[in-house]
Amino acid sequence: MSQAIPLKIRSMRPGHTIGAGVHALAHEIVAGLERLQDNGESSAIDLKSLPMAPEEFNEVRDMLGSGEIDLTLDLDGPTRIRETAYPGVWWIRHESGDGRVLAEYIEIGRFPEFLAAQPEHVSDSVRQLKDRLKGAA
Amino acid sequence: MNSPTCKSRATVGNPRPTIGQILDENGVGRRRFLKYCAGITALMAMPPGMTAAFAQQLRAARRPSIIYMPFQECTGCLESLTRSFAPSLESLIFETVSLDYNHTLQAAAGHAAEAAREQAMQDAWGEYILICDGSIPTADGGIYGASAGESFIEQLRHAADGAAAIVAVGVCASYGGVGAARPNPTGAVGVSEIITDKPIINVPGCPPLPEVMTGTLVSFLASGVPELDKHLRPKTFFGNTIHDRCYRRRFYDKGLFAESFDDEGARNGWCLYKLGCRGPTTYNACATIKWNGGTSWPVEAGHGCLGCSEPDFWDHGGFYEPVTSKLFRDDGQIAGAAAAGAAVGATAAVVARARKKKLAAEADKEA
Repeated sequence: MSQAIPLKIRSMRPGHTIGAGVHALAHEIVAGLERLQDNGESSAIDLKSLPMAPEEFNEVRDMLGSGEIDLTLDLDGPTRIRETAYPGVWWIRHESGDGRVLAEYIEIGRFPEFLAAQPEHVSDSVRQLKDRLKGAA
Repeated sequence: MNSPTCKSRATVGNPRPTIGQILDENGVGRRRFLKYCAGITALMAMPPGMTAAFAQQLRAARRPSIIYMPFQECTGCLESLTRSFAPSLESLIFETVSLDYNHTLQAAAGHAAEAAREQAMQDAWGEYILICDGSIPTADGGIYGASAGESFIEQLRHAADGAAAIVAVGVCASYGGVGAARPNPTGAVGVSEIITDKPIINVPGCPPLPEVMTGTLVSFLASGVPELDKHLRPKTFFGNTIHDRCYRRRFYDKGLFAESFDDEGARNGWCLYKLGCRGPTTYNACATIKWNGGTSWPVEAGHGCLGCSEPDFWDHGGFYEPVTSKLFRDDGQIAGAAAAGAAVGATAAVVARARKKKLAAEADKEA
């Protein structure tokens, strides 16, 4: 009978992170918000590329809190777009059908770029609606 | 094995459809595709704001033919690659790639399989992507690796001749890898030591991360050969060391190390440097992309990095010696400063060597 090896990696206690990675991320978000406020420039921070321990990841989420909007789209797996407690800061998570995280990022902007119609979509709309009107005429 | 007849066929026939056309035919919504691209751009560390532009480029790309040639290999890389196909979203894009030859996955075998390969190569001569898996034995005229009556060297040269680009997957195809480990009896080498007149992208690892393989392919489709480092690896995936992106790095900076796999430091998740982690000298994306669908990766599971994406990783000393121990010559002088934090590492190396000697002495005594 094999027994599981009791290997544990202890989580860091909240508020006791070493290296202040969460703090640094918060400053980056503030800088992004200031650019949005001053120039209307949007930006994003890819959370998957940050070397964070799982506990730190939870700390970031707790720090940003929840805002008014929380919507989930079903696109071969859920895409969840949440407004944080700080308007202009969005938490976006794309998952595959089997629950794997495809992308997770914080976007700083007036609205999430993912929801915007892309220029080629708009061109298609113009063409399709015109065709329909011609048909109706 | 040049095939002039193949070249004459390259321009004949209809151009391959674009990925956008195929997606539209299959009713794949643009936002679903945008979501797929968000995953790819995140993998490639591109700013999320560039996702829409990337999606547009990828939609315009033509459906590529892929010829997958296995040489001296263990099929671990293919096992890894297929794990990236499982999510239905990723399969959307890869259904649009024509995998025209892979003798492990295809139903045909023997002469039928080889005929299918020849036909696929002729149909897309000069345009297909050649994926190579495994090292190529060169000793004694290459007799240590052959199939279908041809040596691997002959097969590689012929297939490379008609390829638009070559992607060498795995550390073996990239640099010779395990097959080339000392004493390298078959004279195994990587693809780039034989083929020198084609764009070659190395995607090393033992095996490579599945998402790095698929991400490299998709990136190539969208924008051609990506920026490569001196070992021909895409900088998007191999631009940082494991150490630079490791969540345990902060413990290294503070001098907090696990001294054994079951001590207090190991349980606290401290740096595994003294236990042989090669993160400081290894360039790969394991620390951020992780394995098994982002579940975890070796360092998070409590074991150091083996450095499997680096040339000659198998011959770089023991897996449980600090990386800086390899920077010492026999006279005890530091031979180079390849590892970050060499001073800290040097101390760790001396301590580890002393421990090793002590254990050896104890073992001798017991014997």
